[in-house]
Amino acid sequence: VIRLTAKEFALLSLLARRRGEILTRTLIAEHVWDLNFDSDTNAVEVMVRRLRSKIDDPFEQKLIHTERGRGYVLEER
Amino acid sequence: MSGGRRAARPHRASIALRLSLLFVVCSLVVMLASGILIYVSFTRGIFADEARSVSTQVESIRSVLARDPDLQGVAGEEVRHRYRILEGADYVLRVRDAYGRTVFETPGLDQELPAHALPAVDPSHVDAPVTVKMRHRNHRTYVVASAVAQVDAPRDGRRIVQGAYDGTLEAALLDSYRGWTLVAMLAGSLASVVFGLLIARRGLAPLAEITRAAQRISAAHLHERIGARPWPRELAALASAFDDMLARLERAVSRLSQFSADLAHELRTPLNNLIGEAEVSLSRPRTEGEYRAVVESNLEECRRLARLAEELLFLARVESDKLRIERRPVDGRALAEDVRSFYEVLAEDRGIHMVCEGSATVVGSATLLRRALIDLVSNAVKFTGPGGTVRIGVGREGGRSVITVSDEGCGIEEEHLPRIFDRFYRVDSARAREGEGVGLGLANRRSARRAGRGGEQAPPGNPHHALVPRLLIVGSALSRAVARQASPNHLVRRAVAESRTDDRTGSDRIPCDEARGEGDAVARLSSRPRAAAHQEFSRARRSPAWAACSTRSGGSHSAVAPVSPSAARRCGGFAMC
Repeated sequence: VIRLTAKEFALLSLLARRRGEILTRTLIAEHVWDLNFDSDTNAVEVMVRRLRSKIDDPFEQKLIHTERGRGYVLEER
Repeated sequence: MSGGRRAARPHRASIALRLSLLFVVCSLVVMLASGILIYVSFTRGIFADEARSVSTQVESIRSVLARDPDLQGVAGEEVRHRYRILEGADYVLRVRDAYGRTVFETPGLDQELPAHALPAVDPSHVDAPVTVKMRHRNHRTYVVASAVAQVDAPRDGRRIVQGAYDGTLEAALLDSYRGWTLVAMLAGSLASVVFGLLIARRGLAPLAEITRAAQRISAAHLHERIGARPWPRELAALASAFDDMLARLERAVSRLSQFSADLAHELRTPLNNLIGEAEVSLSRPRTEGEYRAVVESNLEECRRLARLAEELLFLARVESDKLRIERRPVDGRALAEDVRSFYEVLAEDRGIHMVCEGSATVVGSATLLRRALIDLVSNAVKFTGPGGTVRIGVGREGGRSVITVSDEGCGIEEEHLPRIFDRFYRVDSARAREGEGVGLGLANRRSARRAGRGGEQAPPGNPHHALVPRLLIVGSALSRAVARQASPNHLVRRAVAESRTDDRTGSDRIPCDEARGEGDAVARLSSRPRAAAHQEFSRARRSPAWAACSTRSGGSHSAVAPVSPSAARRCGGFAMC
């Protein structure tokens, strides 16, 4: 069992629902925090890092990938 | 813009000409009226005088006739003697009987003034003499008094007495008076045209002067004012209105040129990055992965540019009033919690505590308020060291709802306070550095940020709270009205200004002085901001929410400032009324 906070869960479910799709930080902020404009995206990065530390770091196969300049994507590579 | 005269365009007749024509008409009317009045009263007075004296003569003859019907007695003889001369005499006389036969007449009178020329007399009319003014041939004027005398004579008992006064002299006098009056009136009118023009020209001279003064001021000399000279009262208002307009223009022009400079600078950095990276990558053959990296990096810069453009567009819409801000009651605490939830992870990562306290309802646009709050909190989080606390306080203060963001950073130097909400304004002079090297913008930005952080190392035990400025945005319906015509407005100002506390009690009104800032909302930075340069303004600067707020300060320690991200880091608060 992996324990996630509410926001982490929201982020994971967003990535999972739209897996294979590159999600921009702005889009993530919009869906997870309901902030519908460009804002500080560092918070998104931090959140993604946390999620990774829980669902990716302990495992061999990484699921969350960073697309530089575009965003994040969840897929099996 | 140049002082050159405009091409001739249709205009109305000159004021001087119109004034002097009016002047002429007025004086003509006045002169004519008084001339007529004097002439009529003269004429009447003289006639009444003449009529009275000739009536007296006729009366006396009548009394003589009563005793001496044919004027053959002593009394009659005296009468005959009195009226015997025609030429040069004041009075002439004719007495006839009831059949029209002449009993007596001044010798030669039948030539000069025949009986048929005199007014007919009703023989039954025996009352007081009737007087008539008549103009006879030879242009002589007579005042004739006619009366019937009852006499004691055989066959007919009546005598018709007609006396005449030769009023030619008086009539001539009146005629000449009339003539001269007309001449004087005409001459006076001509003279008053000339005088009127002179007076009007002279009176309007200051107008020409003020025009010249205004013409001298061009775009390059907007700092000049024309109100300093002592203008006539009628023009003083115009001069001061003109000066006000100049002041507004000057502010607008300088803001505009500053903005253009800032914008150009803001654009240059990403563009230089793009160019630099492209040049470097093209300098030799690359692998696909390397190209990919460059494209990705370029994409980031492009996004930055796109965001900048969008935000500027947004600002422009806000400032041109095209954006309607919807105001609804918003739970201030929920707003604060939303923002905290977004930053909590980031803050935790950096060892910063985030605290939300209090509650209040504000009326405003939740989106815009959240945006403003995010700018403040983002700034606060960036400039608070590990172990520090960022506090979002929601509460009521002096009848207003206030949201405060405070941090334990180093504050802002006072000199920067008035400008921190200008678009693109940066507290440090990082910009100068940034501009030096082509293509180094990003790196410079990073180093500048590091430099900025240095300033945050506040001495331990620093009484932060005393040093932390509070950013306060105050708004009200009143100030909103002021703001409409004032100043470049900002999103925040409006967002906040248009917010009001939920309970609409009288105490919610802001005192006027609260609203005396340029615009809607007065954002105030109070207390002593200290130290430090923050590069981080750049983000704040670009943020439309804050960019819009420029300000004015109330007290010595207050700089009114619209919210800017950078300000946030010291501590910000908004009050909504």
